Amino acid sequence: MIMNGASFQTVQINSDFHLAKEVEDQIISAAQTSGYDEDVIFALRLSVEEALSNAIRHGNAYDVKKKVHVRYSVSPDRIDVYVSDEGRGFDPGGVPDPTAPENLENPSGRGIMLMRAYMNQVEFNDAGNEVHLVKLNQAS
Amino acid sequence: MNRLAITTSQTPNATIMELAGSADIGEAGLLDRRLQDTFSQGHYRVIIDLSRLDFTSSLGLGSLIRAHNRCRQQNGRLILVNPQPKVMRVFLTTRLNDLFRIVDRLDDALQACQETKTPPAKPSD
Repeated sequence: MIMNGASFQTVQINSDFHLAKEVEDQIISAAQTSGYDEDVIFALRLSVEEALSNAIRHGNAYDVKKKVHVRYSVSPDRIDVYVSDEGRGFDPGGVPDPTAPENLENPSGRGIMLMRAYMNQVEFNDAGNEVHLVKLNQAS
Repeated sequence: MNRLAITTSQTPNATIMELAGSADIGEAGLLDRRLQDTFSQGHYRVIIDLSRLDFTSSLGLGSLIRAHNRCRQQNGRLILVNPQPKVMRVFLTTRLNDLFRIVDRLDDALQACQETKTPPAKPSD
């Protein structure tokens, strides 16, 4: 698939953590092959994992019949990853601040803030069931 | 990335769990299960050595937070030891360094556990 001049790979999986891990490894391998450094690889891995985990847990509510759709592009100057689920979506602005003292003991709710901290760009579609991650190669 | 490996040992004052590899989406649940094994034996003073942990996402953080909460409920404590810089940055970004006691050396963690007075261990759950 060609979008905005970039070549995208498309993957679709059932809502399963082990399948998600395979997709994550595939994206990381593409980034490593393109020569991205260890810090970018860590950031990408963390953010893709948060997006996949959110899609399976919150979007598809662990329903293995529901799919997670991933498309990604790795070029020398940037990495784009789209992750969408078949859930109802949500309002990312309505997620409580996980770094507030009263929320520190909550075991979940950190995915979006980690994506925002480690990526150059994080955007949700209007429905709130697709996230677009962008990591720039700032060494290039 | 290496798969998550967990080695558990017991001292008179604490259970030590050494994590190596990656606490990622493919390993979700393993750390919870190992911690539950520890709690079911009545051990609530737990030291988790992170010096060989290469990666954690919020799934791994969630396991640690649940363990922290459980130890505190039982008047025990959970101490983290020597996270690698990339993993430490995750703690700093999420401000979980304000929740967890994080020390540089295993000896410091053992000393802290020795100073923690807890009731005799009773199996639960």
